[in-house]
Amino acid sequence: MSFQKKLLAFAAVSALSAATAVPAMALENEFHGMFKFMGYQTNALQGGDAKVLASDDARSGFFAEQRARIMYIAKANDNLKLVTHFELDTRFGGIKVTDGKGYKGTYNGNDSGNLDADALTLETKNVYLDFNCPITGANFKVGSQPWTDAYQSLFLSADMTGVYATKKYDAFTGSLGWFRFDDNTPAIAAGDTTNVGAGKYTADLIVVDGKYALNKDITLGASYYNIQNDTALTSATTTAPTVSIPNYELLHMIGLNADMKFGDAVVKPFAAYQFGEKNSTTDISAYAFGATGKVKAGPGSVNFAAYYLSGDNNNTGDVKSFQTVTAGTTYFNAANMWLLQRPNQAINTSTSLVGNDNTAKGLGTTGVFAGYEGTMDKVFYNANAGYMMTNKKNAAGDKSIGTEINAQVGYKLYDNLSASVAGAYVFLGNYFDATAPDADNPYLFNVQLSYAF
Amino acid sequence: MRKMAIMLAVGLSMLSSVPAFAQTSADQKDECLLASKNCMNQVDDIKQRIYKLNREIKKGTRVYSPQELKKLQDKLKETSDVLRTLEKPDS
Repeated sequence: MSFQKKLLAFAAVSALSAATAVPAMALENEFHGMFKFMGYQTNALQGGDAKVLASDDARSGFFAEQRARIMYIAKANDNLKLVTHFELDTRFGGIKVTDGKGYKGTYNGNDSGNLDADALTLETKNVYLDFNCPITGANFKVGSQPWTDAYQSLFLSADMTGVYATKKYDAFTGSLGWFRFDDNTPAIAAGDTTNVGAGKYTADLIVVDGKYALNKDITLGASYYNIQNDTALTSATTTAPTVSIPNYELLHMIGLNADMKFGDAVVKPFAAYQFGEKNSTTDISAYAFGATGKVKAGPGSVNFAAYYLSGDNNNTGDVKSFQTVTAGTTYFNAANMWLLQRPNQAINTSTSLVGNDNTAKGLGTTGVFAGYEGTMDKVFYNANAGYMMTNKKNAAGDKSIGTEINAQVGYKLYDNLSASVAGAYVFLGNYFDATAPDADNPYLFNVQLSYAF
Repeated sequence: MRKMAIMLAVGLSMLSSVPAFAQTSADQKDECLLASKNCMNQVDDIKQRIYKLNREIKKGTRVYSPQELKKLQDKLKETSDVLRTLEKPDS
């Protein structure tokens, strides 16, 4: 074979080899998302987060809504990625232009469920950089990100702008975070001499969290949360914003939590104590505790969950009511309720009998919930019961909020697509006697299509 | 010679091509899950990814080193967190 032919053969093989080689590390474009359709026949839901109705002769109606969430992750490598997350909510038929009961981001008729669609419904949930620092070995998340407390979200679970660092040392994982969830700086008007700029009227959350894995079955946790709210302090001034969220100036919250596995049972107990200053004359001293659990039994498992939030029904002395940031950013998903607590499967309509306010305007509540869930091939099912009461009597001297029973049956049409039907009914307690003495018991039927990818 | 070159080229091409949904055997590492390598033509949805990560973790130290297992466990937690975020029931 001549040299020229050898060269040709070598060139052909090299070119083919180069063309088919796979790069060791490439930018990954990761897409995830979900779509849910929900139909409700109910006498109690108003849409959005407006609270579950407890009223006389409540009319039953049918409404439907949908939600899509799209997550795009630009992953340079295992140590560096940008996470973006968007949401599109729509009620079938759209929402009335002036209806204040719309979903976040779709007020004022801006709902593509209206005739001929074409509305601005894209909401931004998260945009943050997630990277492992090669110098410190810590993971950093910088930007608008989701954060959830270690207390079953009874205090706070929200998307917030901030910086969150996590570092692992063998069995110990420590986290340090700062979130600014309110920068309520008023616009500087012409001729304003106060020189008020961004960062002056703010509300911040500081997080210090530690988790220690005692062994492969038991993890113990301790945390300290601190909220410094300067927006309230400015309420008295002439140029200050009038909205103050949360409704206190300084809050410290310390707590302990655990995740324990005993054979077929998993138990997660927690307890927290809060202290701080509501304002310059009133202090806060409050607490919460509870537990959630799951035990395998037969073809499925038994779930249970309970919590207690301290309350107060007089306006003298220290405030003993458990404090949150806003009612809309609290949850107790382990309850598996549809009406007593906001449902853990909810989309746009996500509310409860106490309007997601588990503090019941400061009275504090106790909730006890239990249920059974299981699967049979492609069928899944669950049934639950729960009871809630306030810990301090309301003005009429009543405490019982109600008892809920619910059940759901579903079928997995594909690995990622399930269809289900559910029903829930609440026997109202005497808590509502003073405001709605003849209130009908709330109920709902739900039909759902759920796709995740 | 030309025939030989063509055969060599075809052979190399077959060796370096990746099947659309490569399945790892019980004793093989999943390099795509572990280190984002050889992910050509693979698009896992989130539940498939969780299923695969669980499957790989179950192979244990027979296939993976303790550090690699830890990495897979971290990825499982990360993926589960993504699913939880997607399904969070806020209004």
